[in-house]
Order: sequence, then C-alpha cells, then structure tokens
Amino acid sequence: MTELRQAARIARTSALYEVLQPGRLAGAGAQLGVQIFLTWCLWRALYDAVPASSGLSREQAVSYAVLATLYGRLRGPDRDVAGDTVRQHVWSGSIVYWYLRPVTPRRYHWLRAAGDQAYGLAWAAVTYAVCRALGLIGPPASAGGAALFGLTLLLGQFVLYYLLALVDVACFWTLRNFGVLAIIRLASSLFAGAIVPLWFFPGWFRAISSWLPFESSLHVPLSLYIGRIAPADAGRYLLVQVVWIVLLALALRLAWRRADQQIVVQGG
Amino acid sequence: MLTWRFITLSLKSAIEHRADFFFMILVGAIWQVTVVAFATVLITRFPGMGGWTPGAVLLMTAVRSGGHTLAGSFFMGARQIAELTLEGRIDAFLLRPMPVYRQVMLNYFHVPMLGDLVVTGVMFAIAARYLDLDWTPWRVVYLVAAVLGAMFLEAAVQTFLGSFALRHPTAKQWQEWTEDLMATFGSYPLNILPDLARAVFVFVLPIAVCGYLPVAFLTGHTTELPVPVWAAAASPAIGAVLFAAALRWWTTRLRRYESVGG
Repeated sequence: MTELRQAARIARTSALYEVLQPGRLAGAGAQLGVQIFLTWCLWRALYDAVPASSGLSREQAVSYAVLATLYGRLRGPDRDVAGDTVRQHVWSGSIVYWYLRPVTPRRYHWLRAAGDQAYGLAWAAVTYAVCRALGLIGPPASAGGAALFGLTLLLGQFVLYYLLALVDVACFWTLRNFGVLAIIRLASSLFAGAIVPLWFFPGWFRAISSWLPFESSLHVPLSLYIGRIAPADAGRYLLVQVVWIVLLALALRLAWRRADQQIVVQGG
Repeated sequence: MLTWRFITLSLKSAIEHRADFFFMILVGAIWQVTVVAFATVLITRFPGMGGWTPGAVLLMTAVRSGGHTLAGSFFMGARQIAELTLEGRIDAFLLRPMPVYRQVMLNYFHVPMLGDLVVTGVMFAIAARYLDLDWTPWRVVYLVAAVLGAMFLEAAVQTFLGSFALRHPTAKQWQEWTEDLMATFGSYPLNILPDLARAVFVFVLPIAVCGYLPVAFLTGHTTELPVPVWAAAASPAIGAVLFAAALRWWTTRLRRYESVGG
C-alpha cells in the first residue's frame, strides 16, 4: 500500500506542475481548442471539391485529423520545462539523486512517464467528449473497431514510451539528445500519420512506414476507429505492436543496466 | 568583429557534440519534409484548396518556409530567453559591450537551418514548376521581399513573446505554440477559415503576412482578400514594421528585468 502511494506521488508530479499553474493550464486548454478548430476547418476545406479521397470520406478524414490533434496531448505536459529529464540531470550532475532515492531510476522514469500519459489521457478523454458533443468527431465505425482502437492505442503508447526512454537513457553516453529527440518527434508525427493520414501517401511511403514503430502509435488505432482498417484485419497490426514492444523493452532494459554501471557525475 | 566571434563560438559549441550536430541538421530537413508531405498530398490527392491551385498553395508554403528558415537562422535566440533568464545569463549579457538582444540572438547557433535551406530551395523549385506564372524580375524581387517579410514577422512574434519570458518562463510555451501554429496554418489560403478566425490571423496574429497576402497578390488570387489589394501588396513591409515595434517592446521589458538572483 505504501509502495502504491509512493508510485502515485511520483506519477502525479507533472500533472500537479501544470494544474497548480492556472496560466499554464488555461494556455494549454486554449491552445488545444484553437488547434482543433483550425484543423477541422482545414480538412473540411480540402474536401470541399471531392466527396472522398484515398478511400477516406470527408467525415472519416476530419475525424481522423481531429483525433490526431488530440493524440498530441496524450504525452502530457513537456517535462523539459520542469527540468526533470535524464538529459538535464546528467548535464547538471543531479542525476546522482536518482540513485540515492528508495526508488530505482528505471522505476522512477517509468512512473513519471506513466503519470504523464495518464494526465494526457484525461485531457484527451475530456476533449474527445466535447468534440463528440459538438460533432467535430464522428462515432467509431463499429463496436469492435472502438474496442480495438482502445487496445492498439494503449499498445502504441508503450511502443512510444520505450522508444523515447531509450533516447533519454542514451544521454548517459551522448550527454545531449536534442537532435535525436527532435528527429523521433518529427518522425513519429510523419510516419504515424499525425500530420497527414498515411492513406494519402504513395505505396512506397506506406511500405517504409510499416517497418517503423511509429505507425502503430496513431495510424493503426485511428484507422480502426474510423473504419478504414476492418477489425478482422487488426491481428497483423497487433502482432507488429507486440513485437516492437518486446524488442524495445529488452533494449531499454539493457541500456539501463549499462547506464547504471558506467554513470559518472561531474567527473568523479 | 565581436559579433563574428560570437557566431563562431556558438557554432563551435554546437559542433562540440558531433552526433547531436549531425542529427540537428537532419531535423531541419525532416521538419521541412513534413511540410512538403502535406503539400504533396494536397497536389496529388486534391484539386486545390479554397479556390487556389495546388501550385499557388505550394508557393505559399515555400514563402512561409523560407521566412521560417531565415528567422530560425538569425532570431532563434528569442526562443531561449526563458532558459537564459532562469540561468541568470542575461545578467552577464548586461555587462558586455554589445546590445543584449544581439547577444541573445548570437548565443545559439540554430543548426537545423542548414537542412531547412536545402528543402526550402526544393520547395520553391516544385512550386515554380506547377505554377503557370511569368517570372519577371519584379516578381522575383517581390518574392524575395515576401520571404524577408515572413522572416521579420516570425522574428517579431518570437521577440514580442520572448520579452515576456524575461519575467514569466511560461512564455516559452506560447512561443512554441505560436511557432507551431504559424508552421501549420501559415501555409494555406486563409479564406478557408471562418471570418472571425481569418480576421484574427490578419489583424491580431498576422500569420497572413507570412504567405497568404503576398502570394495572393503575386498570383492574382485577390477576389476574396480580407484587406484591399494595395494592403496585400504592401504586406512584406508589415513584417518589418512589426519587428521594429517588437524590438521597442523588448527594450521596454529589459528595463524592468530583475535577476533571478534578486
């Protein structure tokens, strides 16, 4: 029980950081609202002259685009602002405190990420309800599609967590990760279909994207939601997600072990 | 001379972490590729947007992207003001024989712009190919002015918001959001938006200056403009005027600067 309370305390850090600053909270809400509204306008305008394109009807494409905007909120607040990333701690030497606490650095990192995700999910869920009420997002194509949407979305977040955690832990060696992190963020937007649904891209692009871990985080769940992927075809995508999770989890485990062995703080 | 030394030192500092330097160049290219991706989809999958041909929309994207690249090259430091303030480094800038604003801008070498430049060039080439436009010398000059106007507008917005970061670090959140907003919606004809949103993007946060107004004038899409044609034609100058105003705002805010050390 004490352990659970301890975990909850760690997990809620980012949420408290934002909730206790009304300016930051209001800003985040206003930004999300404006982004959703403009995305909605943009995609409706694109479909003004055509009823469907690349197998997506206007309703499907608009729902996909608005949901993709919500997805951006899923990762929770920017922890960089709070100064609690591995890079910042390695850089300043305060990473040593992660090794002095009664929680292992690996567990602390995981709990913080889980808390961020949960907070982001709360934002996304509330905004989803509002968007549904306003008619900005259509209903799921089927009950099966909705269930698989939830499952693939969850698995996709695990894939992303492991990937980003690997980049974080790499800072024990590289000291800086701005470049890799920025590339992963951009690649995860492009190859996940957050900027444009992957259905609009040519076959070769979709083939590349199918080999990368990003499409499982967004493209697959949203395509299931809007009915562009039939629930009967979801098995292959689920398998790919599980394979990525296993591979990345093993790599992360190895990286943490190596990092624990070679940590150097301020040269000593 | 001192300015040049600042630039070389910032570059040396960035190159010190070689892998990161390389990846940051890639970031510039990939970031622009995402913009190109949307534009490509637009050209190949849709007949246009808001009555604009795909080529005209792509030219707008290229102008905004060009302005963003130049703004990133010369004014990216404005995005670092919150960190510089929290670390107390503005204090040191105040003691040196160079304007603080220039030091803030020179403090950071924005590596991705090397990748940005290449992709922006490619975008202009594609747009020119798709557009049936006679590229007379004055049109080319106007295009260059439009790119500079877009640069000054982005610099003005980031400087204005960054000035708040001297006292409120949360301003950085708004800077990032505004940059995203300009990147996403600065590249499309604003007549697709409802009147209120369009008015905001013309008169409050004038994203329209980044591409919509100058390219509308250049390509003759002037029937649905929210401003007179002469105002659209003069839009590149608006960026410069707003930048001058933002600099004055920065000076005012800097006078009220208080060190984090008390």
